[in-house]
Amino acid sequence: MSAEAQGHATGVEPSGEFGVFVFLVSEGLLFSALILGYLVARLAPGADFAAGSRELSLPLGTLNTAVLLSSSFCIALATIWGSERSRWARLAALATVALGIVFLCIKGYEYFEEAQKGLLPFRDMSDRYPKAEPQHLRLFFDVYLALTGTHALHVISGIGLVGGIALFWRRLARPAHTLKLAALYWHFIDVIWVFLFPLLYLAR
Amino acid sequence: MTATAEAPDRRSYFAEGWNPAAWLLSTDHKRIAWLYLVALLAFFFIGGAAATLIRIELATPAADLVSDDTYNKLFTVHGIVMVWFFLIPSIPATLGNFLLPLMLGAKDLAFPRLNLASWYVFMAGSLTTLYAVIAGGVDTGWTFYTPLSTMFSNSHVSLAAAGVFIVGFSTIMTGINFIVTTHKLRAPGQTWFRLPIFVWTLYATSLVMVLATPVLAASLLLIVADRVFGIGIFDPAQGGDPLLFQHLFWFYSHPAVYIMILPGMGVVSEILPCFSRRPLFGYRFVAYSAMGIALLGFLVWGHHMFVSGQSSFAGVVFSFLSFCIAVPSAIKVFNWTLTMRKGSITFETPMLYALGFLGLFVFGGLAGLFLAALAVDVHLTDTYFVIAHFHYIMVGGMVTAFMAGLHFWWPKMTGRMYSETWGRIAAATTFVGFNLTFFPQFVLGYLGMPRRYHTYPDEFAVWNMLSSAGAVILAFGYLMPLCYLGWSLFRSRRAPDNPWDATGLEWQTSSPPPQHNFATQPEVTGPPYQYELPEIDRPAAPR
Ligand code: HEM
Ligand SMILES: [Cu+2]
Repeated sequence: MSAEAQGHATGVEPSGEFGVFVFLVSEGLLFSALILGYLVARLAPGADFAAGSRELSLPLGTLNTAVLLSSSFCIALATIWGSERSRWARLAALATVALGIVFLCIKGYEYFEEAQKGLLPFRDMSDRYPKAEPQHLRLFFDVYLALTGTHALHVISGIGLVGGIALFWRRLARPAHTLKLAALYWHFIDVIWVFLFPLLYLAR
Repeated sequence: MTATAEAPDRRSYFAEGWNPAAWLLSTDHKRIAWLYLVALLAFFFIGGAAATLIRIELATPAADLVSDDTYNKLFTVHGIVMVWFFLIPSIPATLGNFLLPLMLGAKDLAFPRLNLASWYVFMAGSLTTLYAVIAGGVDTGWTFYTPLSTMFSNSHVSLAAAGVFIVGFSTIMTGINFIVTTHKLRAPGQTWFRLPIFVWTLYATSLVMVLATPVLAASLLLIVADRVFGIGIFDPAQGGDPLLFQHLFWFYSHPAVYIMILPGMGVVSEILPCFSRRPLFGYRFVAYSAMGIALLGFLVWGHHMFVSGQSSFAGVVFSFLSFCIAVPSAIKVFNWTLTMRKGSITFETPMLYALGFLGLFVFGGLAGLFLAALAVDVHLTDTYFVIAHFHYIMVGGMVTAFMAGLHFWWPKMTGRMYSETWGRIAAATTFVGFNLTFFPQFVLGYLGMPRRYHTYPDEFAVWNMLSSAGAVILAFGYLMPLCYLGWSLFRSRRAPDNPWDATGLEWQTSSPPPQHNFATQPEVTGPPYQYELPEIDRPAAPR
């Protein structure tokens, strides 16, 4: 549409998508700030910081990456099917939700294991790591929790969003369109994880 | 959206009813603007009450009203409430909300329900913080500096920060809504360079809202995480970096000061041409400089940290960039001044406020340049000079512009005229009261009086007394409009559709506008501000 011929306050379709993109830029800055925290901690001199990532479970992290990527695949299918008015769209959306829940369970299990090893910053680590600077290890887990925790909160809201659309499909005025907007958000969550995974798990 | 195109509904938006639900559940941007206006006024007076107590305490050198602890809590409430619950949303959420669709020739914002939701989120957040204040207060200052806020403060920091965090969501919602509306809902012919400057500044403000607020959210989140879970990213004992908080905070808060002034610049850009009967001088420069301010605003945060221990190289760079950011502001000031040159100027209330804005903004901005000079700032930082600087811009500038806009568009919003005499008296009173309150603080800062203490040596007594006296006058200046504007709602002459003979789409619809803003879809055929001098050079605006 040309800049000259707009108006009538009806442009719901392009507006919605544009609005979501602006929102995602905003969300991107939220994570940028947290990732900045990571970089500052990592680049600080004398840090045993990277030792923290060696304590993380690489297999579980990789598995989770796969799970989240497949969920993005599912929701992409859901949007395509939605625009074709196929009944499979709802199913694919539900599959997305299921994969999201699997992701959270695996993440929860990882937290559980780390807590068992006494790695999470809720208690003192100095007895377990009587090395010179246990606090750097601790700092890693501070950052790790902040980043993955914020990300997990986003996964939870994504599950609520996509799940809600799948459940109330019939009651929505334009379910396929709404699903498309939710899919943008879901892909965003995925992209964020694609950044977090190498930063936290791979850069050992 | 139920109105049909065939039978335009010309009843005013007030005709939709007066029961609470018709206001609290309405998605009409004009009604939501009123919801915000009422809430923000309440917060303005809460913040003002705290300021009153502060000024009473500071009237004399000794501690005679409150303890040091209470004093800390007072300036914290004052700062938090004024910055986040009043100034940030002030013009955008009230006048902007009301006028943006009107100026674009649209029926509403792009996302009317999001708009209503933003008000509820705002209320939820601000009341959370207010509860924290009532439950015992917060003593960190509005800046929430670590490690005070994370390790040492025993006050309700988490709750207060959570409230500010929530309010941030409402800011982002408003920002998204305004950006999308400006892109997508312009009337036929309403091209970017035919937009009123007020729209440009709202657009620039919204960009800053969307890009900066999430960073504040992250830093507040980390403070709460530290206090609740012990996630010590800012805690040096855990290897964390307390300075990182300042970087994050000012990365938000310097751009945020431009959230707090850009809409004010927009308002005066509407008013000065109207009451000078001249087109805005250098329209494109004014528009571009709004965007320039929004972008440059992200590059200068380090000037709040000159003495924090950041590298001296960083200090020099930030000092240089801070000088640069004065340029777009100065461009605007030159253009406003030249707009009035050879104009046929009349001094109605909005114009008086707008002229007040101009003087105070220039003064405050020049003081900013003193602070931007690295070596000078080492002496002035954390003194009353800084307080005076930002009050000149935020109160002298933005609040004055808010009053200017409120008076300018009051006839449009309410369909009523207010008492011009009282309006002029109030405008003059605020100007005098403001200068008397804050000019002495420049002197105090220069003499070395530090901020955030409740007692001070005797030699500062006279200037402080002057400042407190000025605050009394200022308070009258702000209370007066509350009375005569309130009065005008019930007992006053009805406003014509275009009382100031102004250009702009909002003046082409009735006062107050119908529910869907325009009876027929307006079209724009020319540039804004097509004012012409009256043939005989005498005041053209109707009295
Ligand atoms: C001409 C452009 C400006 C320049 C060069 C400038 C410069 C500065 C500098 C260097 C400081 C730090 C002083 C210190 O802490 O030692 C400062 C503080 C401040 N400025 Fe500005 N400023 C400008 C415009 C503004 C505007 C437009 C606003 C608000 C609408 C504003 C609001 C503030 C506030 C709130 C603070 C103090 C925050 C605090 O410490 O609590 N400034 N300014
Ligand atoms: Cu600044």
